[in-house]
Amino acid sequence: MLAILLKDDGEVTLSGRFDASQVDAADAVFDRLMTTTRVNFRDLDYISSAGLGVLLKTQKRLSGLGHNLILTHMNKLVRDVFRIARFDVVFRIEEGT
Amino acid sequence: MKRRFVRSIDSLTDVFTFLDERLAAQNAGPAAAYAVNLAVEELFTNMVKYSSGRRNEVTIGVEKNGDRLVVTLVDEDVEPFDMTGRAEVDTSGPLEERKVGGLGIHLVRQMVDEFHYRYENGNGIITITKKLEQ
Repeated sequence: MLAILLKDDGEVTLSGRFDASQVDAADAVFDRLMTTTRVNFRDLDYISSAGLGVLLKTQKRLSGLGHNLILTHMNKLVRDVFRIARFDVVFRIEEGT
Repeated sequence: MKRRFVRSIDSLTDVFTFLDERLAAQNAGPAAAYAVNLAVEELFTNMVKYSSGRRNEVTIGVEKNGDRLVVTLVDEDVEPFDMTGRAEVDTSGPLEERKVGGLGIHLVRQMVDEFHYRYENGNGIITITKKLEQ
C-alpha cells in the first residue's frame, strides 16, 4: 500500500510500497504538480519500475515547464534501484536521511 | 512451497503477502527480499500485460537451494515469450530519451543472480535465483 501526501508547503511525502497497483493513485497526485517539487522518500520502503515510470513521466512534463522534482531521504535499497536504473542522473537526489 | 494467482494486477497484494511469508521463513535479508519482490512484480506484471487471452493463472514457487532462493513463475497456457531475451534498455541517455519500457527487465537482470526462461507444454516458465545473504 502506498500513501501519498501533498503537504501545504508543496512537499510530497511517500510512504509504503510504490508498486504497479499504485500507479493510478500516484498519477492523481503527480499529474497535479506544476512547479518544482520536493518528494520525500523517508518512509518509502519499496519502488519498482512502475513507480519509476510515474516519476519519469512527471519529471519530463515538469522539465518542459522549466521545473523538476527533487527527491530526498531515500533509503539505501530504494537508492540502489535508482542507481541501477541510472535514474540518479536524470533526477536531483539529495542525500541524507 | 507454491501458490496460484489469477493473472491480474489485482493479485499483486496477495503475491507480495505470499512472498513476505516465504522470504521470512527462509531468513532472507532485506536486500535479497527486495530483489525477489521486485523481480516477481516485474515478471508477473509483464505476464499480465503480454499474455493475452483468458484470465488464467500464474503459479509462483519459492524454494531454498543451499545458499540461494529459487523462485519460479509458471505462466499457464500462453504463447512462447522469452522476457530474458529482451533487448537491453538504454539507460545512458538524457531525460528526454529515457523510457520506462524495458526498465523492469533491466532491473531484474541486475538485481538477481540468475534469470532463465523455458517453454514446456504450453506454459512459460521463468526461474530466478538470488543469494540469500545479499
